Amino acid sequence: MSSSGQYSYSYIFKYIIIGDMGVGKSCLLHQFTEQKFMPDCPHTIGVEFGTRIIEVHGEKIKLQIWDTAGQERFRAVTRSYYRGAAGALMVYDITRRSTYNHLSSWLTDTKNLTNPNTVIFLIGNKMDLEGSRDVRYDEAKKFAEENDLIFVEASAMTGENVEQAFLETAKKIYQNIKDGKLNANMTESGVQHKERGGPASLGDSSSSDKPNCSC
Amino acid sequence: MKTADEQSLSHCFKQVMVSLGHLLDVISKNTLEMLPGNGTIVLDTVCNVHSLVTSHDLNCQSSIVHSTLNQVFQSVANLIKFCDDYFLYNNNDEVNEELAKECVAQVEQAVINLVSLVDQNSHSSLVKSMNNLIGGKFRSSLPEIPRIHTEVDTSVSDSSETMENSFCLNKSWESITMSNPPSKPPLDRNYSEYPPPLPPKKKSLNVESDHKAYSLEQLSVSSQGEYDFNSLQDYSTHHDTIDGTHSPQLLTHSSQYISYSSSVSSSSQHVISNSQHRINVNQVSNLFETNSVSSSSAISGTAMMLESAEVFQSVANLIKFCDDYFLYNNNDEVNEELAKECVAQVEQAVINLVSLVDQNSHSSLVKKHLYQDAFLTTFRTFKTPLEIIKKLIDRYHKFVSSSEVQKQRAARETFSFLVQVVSELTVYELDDNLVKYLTDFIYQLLSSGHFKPARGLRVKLLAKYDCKNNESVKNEILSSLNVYTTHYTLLAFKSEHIAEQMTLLDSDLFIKIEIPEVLAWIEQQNEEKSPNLTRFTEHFNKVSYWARTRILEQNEARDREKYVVKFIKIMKHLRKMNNFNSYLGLLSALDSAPIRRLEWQKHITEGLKEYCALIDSTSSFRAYRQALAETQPPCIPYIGLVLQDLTFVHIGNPHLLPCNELPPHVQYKNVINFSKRRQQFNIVQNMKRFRSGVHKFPRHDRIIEFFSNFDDFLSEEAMWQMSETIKPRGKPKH
Repeated sequence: MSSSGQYSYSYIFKYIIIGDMGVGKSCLLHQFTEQKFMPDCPHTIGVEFGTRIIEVHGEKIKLQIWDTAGQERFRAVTRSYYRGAAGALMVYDITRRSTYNHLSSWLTDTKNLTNPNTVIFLIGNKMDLEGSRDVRYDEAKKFAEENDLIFVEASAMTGENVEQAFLETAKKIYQNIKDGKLNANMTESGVQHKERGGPASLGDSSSSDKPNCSC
Repeated sequence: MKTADEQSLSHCFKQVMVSLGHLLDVISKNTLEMLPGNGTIVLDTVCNVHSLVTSHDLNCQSSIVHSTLNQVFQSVANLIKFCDDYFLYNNNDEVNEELAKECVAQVEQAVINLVSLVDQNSHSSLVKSMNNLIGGKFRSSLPEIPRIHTEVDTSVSDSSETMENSFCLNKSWESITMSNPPSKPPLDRNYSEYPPPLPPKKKSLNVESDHKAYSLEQLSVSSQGEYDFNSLQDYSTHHDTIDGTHSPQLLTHSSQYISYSSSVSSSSQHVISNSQHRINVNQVSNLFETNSVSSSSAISGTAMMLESAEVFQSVANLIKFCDDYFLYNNNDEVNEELAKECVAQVEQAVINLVSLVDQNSHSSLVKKHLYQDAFLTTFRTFKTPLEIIKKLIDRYHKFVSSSEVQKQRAARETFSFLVQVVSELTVYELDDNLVKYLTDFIYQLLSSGHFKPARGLRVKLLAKYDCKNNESVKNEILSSLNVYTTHYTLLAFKSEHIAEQMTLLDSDLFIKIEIPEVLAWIEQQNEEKSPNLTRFTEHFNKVSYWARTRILEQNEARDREKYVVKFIKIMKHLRKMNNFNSYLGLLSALDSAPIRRLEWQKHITEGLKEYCALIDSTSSFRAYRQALAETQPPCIPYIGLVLQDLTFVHIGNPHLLPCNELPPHVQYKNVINFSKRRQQFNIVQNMKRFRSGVHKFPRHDRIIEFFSNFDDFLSEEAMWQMSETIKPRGKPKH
């Protein structure tokens, strides 16, 4: 059933991207999905912006990335986006220390609102702006280790390490599934499994098979 | 005729004196908040006198006339400056009464001199009445300030409006037609000698009135509620007809068509008796020549071709008829029916052609306005309002001194755009620096006798300033209104009424959000620069946390359930009222982790699913966007999504674009990426659209009090604790 070329995949992983305003969350997503935001055609407004199919250990996985950029202040709503995320990309800006200092509160939110197995990936964005660096690499590295986070510095501008951050997260989630830590059939796990060649499982999102509108 | 003139001049003069007296009264009675309004009245009344006096044949070269006029301009400029300076900067100081008297006296004298310019012989009665006025010291006849204020206000504006109106319209149309006078149909005179035998004459009249309607429409297109001032109509009319691209050409051409079309019809009737059909043919072909000029500018090809083809066909028929008769049937009686038929066809075809041109120039106007709207909405993303205003004023100065018609037009266009920029300023953009810049400019305008534009700009500025003052007063009132007595519970009120009152509160906050602060938020996220947006967002969060708290504070499961059901009912009504904002606020409450994790009856969880579907985020909120697109105002959208869309546009599109096509002398390497601004404009346009509607529900004070500003809510941690007290956290899931 789900054998139609590039749109077939065996898993859907849900990600969220969080962090202070202006750290470049949407830029990272923009870079990773290589999709033009808001093309001129008004019909494409209904397109899911943050999706891309990747491959991990030979399995096709659709990443569904929820970017709340712009909506940060609507706390009452954005909190609900955390639920059922298998991966959380927590972003700060290496040229603005304040965005680094807020990480602990972002982390608390993430731990409170996601399930215990959610993979949290820390990204120090804007590594291309070495000249105005405000947060040292080893400092952030240490913070990441203490809190059991995977860490990388990246640049949404040049694309450096962006791919890696998204892929590493997926690998870790996949590993959790294989290890039995994450049950792909639980609704809150942030993961949906699709049997290859068989009928789609119940948890399958109805919209997940729709090809992206190309305007 | 002259006596009527005299009467109105005497009347206007009286009004100047009354308004000046009143101004002094205001100062002596220390009701200074009225000062700017009084300034406006003085300006209006002087303006009326000035218009009337200059409508007499004054010798403008004469040095006396020149210096008298200058005296008027200068004294009025000083007086207005006095009023505005005091109002805008020195609110707390004592007013300099001596200076005020000095200014008033100067205006008085200048106006007296001005009126005296009108032929001495013809206005002895006027001078008498003037003397009476001055002798009688008009001030003593003012019993009470506020009443007089409004009285004077309305009477002046009533009489002056109609006058100014006719003035402005005449003037603008005059100048449009004068710049390119439509050639008069050569056969016009004959026309009256030949009574129109055909109904088509009416049709051609219709075209004319259509044309007028069109030009009025133009005015309304341009005004869009922005130009409530007659003085500006003058400008906007020019502005639109000249409007950059091709419209001036089109307009003069289409007025030519009308004369052509009437000449075609008159001459075609002529044909029947005189067989002078050659003239006729020439005229129709003229029509085509002019037409082809404009068609290249704006008109869609096919429609034009079709209409043109009909003109060709009908003209061919008519010519054939004439020639047939001439060549073959010289002695027979003419078939009048057939002739009428042919003439009618030509007329109809020409009328169609003309109206096509009208439509198209209209739609290009609309396009032009869209561009202007987009610019006005988004220019802050590349220039500050002060920078734009400075540039516009510089541009105005550059062109206004020129005698070239084209440059004069550019100056007017620039000015009318400046007024638009000012009228769309947000209150927090109106800082001292900007106000100073504008009042200086108004002073310059007045000193050089440009009363009407100065008045228009000044009234806009003062209105903005009033808004700013009201704003701060209102906010104080709101914050002091926090006295409440909570005897009621949510269940005591009807769901529909609660939804109505929530919507009223939302609506108040929503219409205050100004578009520029929304755009500024995307780039700067500065609460001070986006105060109303911040307030709205906070309100949204508060409503949601308030609702969560109301549910969790119930001790009994049954009561919690009652509350959830109540909120669902309220949501149903919110949806009916198109209040997507609070709808989502409540939904996010019911769907929040501390509440969701509790056990609910199936009918509740199932019911909730339906409500979630509207706001489902898949396909970038397709369901919600669809619903919104089908919604008519009044409506309160969810602003978070507007912000998200704007963020995506901001990130996905560069600020500047490299430009290779500019001429070499232009120094910029990059140009502003206007297509990005257009996208931004399209997004905020929806907000603008919904701001236009207002929810009209009666205010229900008990419910508003019960809300108590939604301040009564628990912290997220506390709510988690309550939730876990109700249902202890299970073992972590594997």
